[in-house]
Amino acid sequence: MALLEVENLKIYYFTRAGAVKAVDDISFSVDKDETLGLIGESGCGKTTAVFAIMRFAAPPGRIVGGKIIFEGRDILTMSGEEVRLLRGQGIAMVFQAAQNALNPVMNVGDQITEVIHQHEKVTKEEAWDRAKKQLELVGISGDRAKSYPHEFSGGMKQRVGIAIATACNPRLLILDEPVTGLDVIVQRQLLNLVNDLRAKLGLPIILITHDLSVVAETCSKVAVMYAGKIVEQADAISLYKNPAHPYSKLLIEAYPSIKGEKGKLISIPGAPPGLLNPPVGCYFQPRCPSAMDICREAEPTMVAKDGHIVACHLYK
Amino acid sequence: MKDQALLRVENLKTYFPVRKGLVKFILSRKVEYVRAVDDVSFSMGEGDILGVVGESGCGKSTLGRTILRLIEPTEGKIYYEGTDITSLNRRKMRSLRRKMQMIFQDPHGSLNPRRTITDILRQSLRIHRLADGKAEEDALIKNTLEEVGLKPAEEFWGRYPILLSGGQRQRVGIGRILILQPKLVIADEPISMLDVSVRMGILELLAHLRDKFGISFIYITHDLATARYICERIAIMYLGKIVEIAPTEELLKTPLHPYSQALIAAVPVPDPRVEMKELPIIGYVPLIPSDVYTSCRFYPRCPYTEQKCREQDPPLVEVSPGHYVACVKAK
Repeated sequence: MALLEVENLKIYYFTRAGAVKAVDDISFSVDKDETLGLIGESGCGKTTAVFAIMRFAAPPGRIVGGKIIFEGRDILTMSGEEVRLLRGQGIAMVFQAAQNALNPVMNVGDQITEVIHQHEKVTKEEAWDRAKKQLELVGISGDRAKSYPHEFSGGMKQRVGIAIATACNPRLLILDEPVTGLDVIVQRQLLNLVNDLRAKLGLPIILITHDLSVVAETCSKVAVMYAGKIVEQADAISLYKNPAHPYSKLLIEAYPSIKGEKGKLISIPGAPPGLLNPPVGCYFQPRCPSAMDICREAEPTMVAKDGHIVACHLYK
Repeated sequence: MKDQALLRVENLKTYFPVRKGLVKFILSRKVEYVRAVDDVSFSMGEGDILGVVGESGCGKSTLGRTILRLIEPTEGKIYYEGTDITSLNRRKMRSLRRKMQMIFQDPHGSLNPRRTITDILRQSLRIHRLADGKAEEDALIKNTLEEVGLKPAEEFWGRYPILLSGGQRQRVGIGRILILQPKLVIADEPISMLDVSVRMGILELLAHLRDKFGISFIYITHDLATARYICERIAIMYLGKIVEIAPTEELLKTPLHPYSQALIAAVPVPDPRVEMKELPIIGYVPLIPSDVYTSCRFYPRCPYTEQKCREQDPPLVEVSPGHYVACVKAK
């Protein structure tokens, strides 16, 4: 059994205009030694999906179906106290824009010890020592534990976020858009750190991003999300080499590269659908170059094809 | 340098005074500056697309705004079609502004949510008195909407920005300036807030407008990969200075400045089969840039530094036709 198994997860936002199916029947798993990249455009439900794993779903959002099995237990049926212990120790998360998620009036050392004290009975000195070690783990000198967030640059704040998340040795780490808004050089330094951490701590990671190249450089497995659904899942190399779903294919082609020959500019016409009134049939059909009659009538189901799991009528 | 250049910038400097406490000011009596743009010179012709690439805080946006005189330069000259615009008065500057326009980064924040997109375009026309009567305005607006890819125009007529997607809103932002028939457009990170699937569409549109109307663009970005697709030349900025400027493919293949090399090496490649390389750079951009530079401003992070780098701030010199570098090692 995999470390984390998400089965048929459904999260809807109940608004006055109707139910928005932000996450609609998605399944995926993460095993030890795996880095799963969850990729998709803004509003496709990727953050909503991992929030559910942390049990962060809040009204008007509600988990209406599915299971999230972590180490054999369903997170969705846990009590409040069990969830509190799970967060940080079992599964930890670094939030999007962690730069701004830090407390500005607390030094970073205290922000790390705060997490440790929540979970473990340790003395102040012990916790402080561990905070320093955490900082060193992410490449910041332990002497800076007394510094405040404004004394760090954006990339270093993001590192502090990772130091806080890994303070209690979680068994699964979730990174939500870890490098968005960072400069390329800082971004590269951070991706190197993520790869190092995985190697050093053997930490499985779920990485959420809209950036294909970030996934390419860190992940072993990729799930492509579109309009609340996973449309394709495969191991990273095979997905980049032979994308099966037309959306994955176009997304990869639309991504500019500075290596190799300069190809033609490709963009996907149209925009992702509103999830209040999604299109009939396949959600990608209005933008799809290979749409057929059946795509406008029936929703495709997941089929296995050459090691990929793909939801498209092209494969039957 | 060519005299028929559309835009020529000479030794442009924009300094911002650093606010200090009163006591500190009385004690030192010295005003310190942040040198956001520090001695930048370049020129560009009609129909050129110049990329200005650098990390946040390197002064690329300030450079763009200074060229339009949205920020007054501290020193230096900006020639537009041979006239020095730094000495123009407000009225003359205003009539020139029609020719020099700007596309903003945030398509959500830069459109007035209480006006329909038709009104937003109409406002541009009225400010510059470009049309006689409503019928002519309507015709111009319709043409412009279709030119920027919002077709059929009837479908978008009278819509509010909130009903449009990010990409469509950015097209309205481009339409708002296209309707003025500008000759020089500063595009400040026009696609960085858009979804990946629509980004390339906006870049295609910019390239199309250049081909059809001969508009020149200064494309300000932190993303070398997208700059590659539309720019003929790219200028790399670091702490207020252009450290290298060269034709795009030449710069990407043979970058000469160590900073350009690091920047290019850091660009992630969307292919998991390509291994990540070690970066030839140390540390971070300084949080507080220094007031005066007597050394190369990159030397604290440079892996190839030598004594000479500490003694002078190297000037931008031409090493091969059109390829300028500011580094003591480049010959």
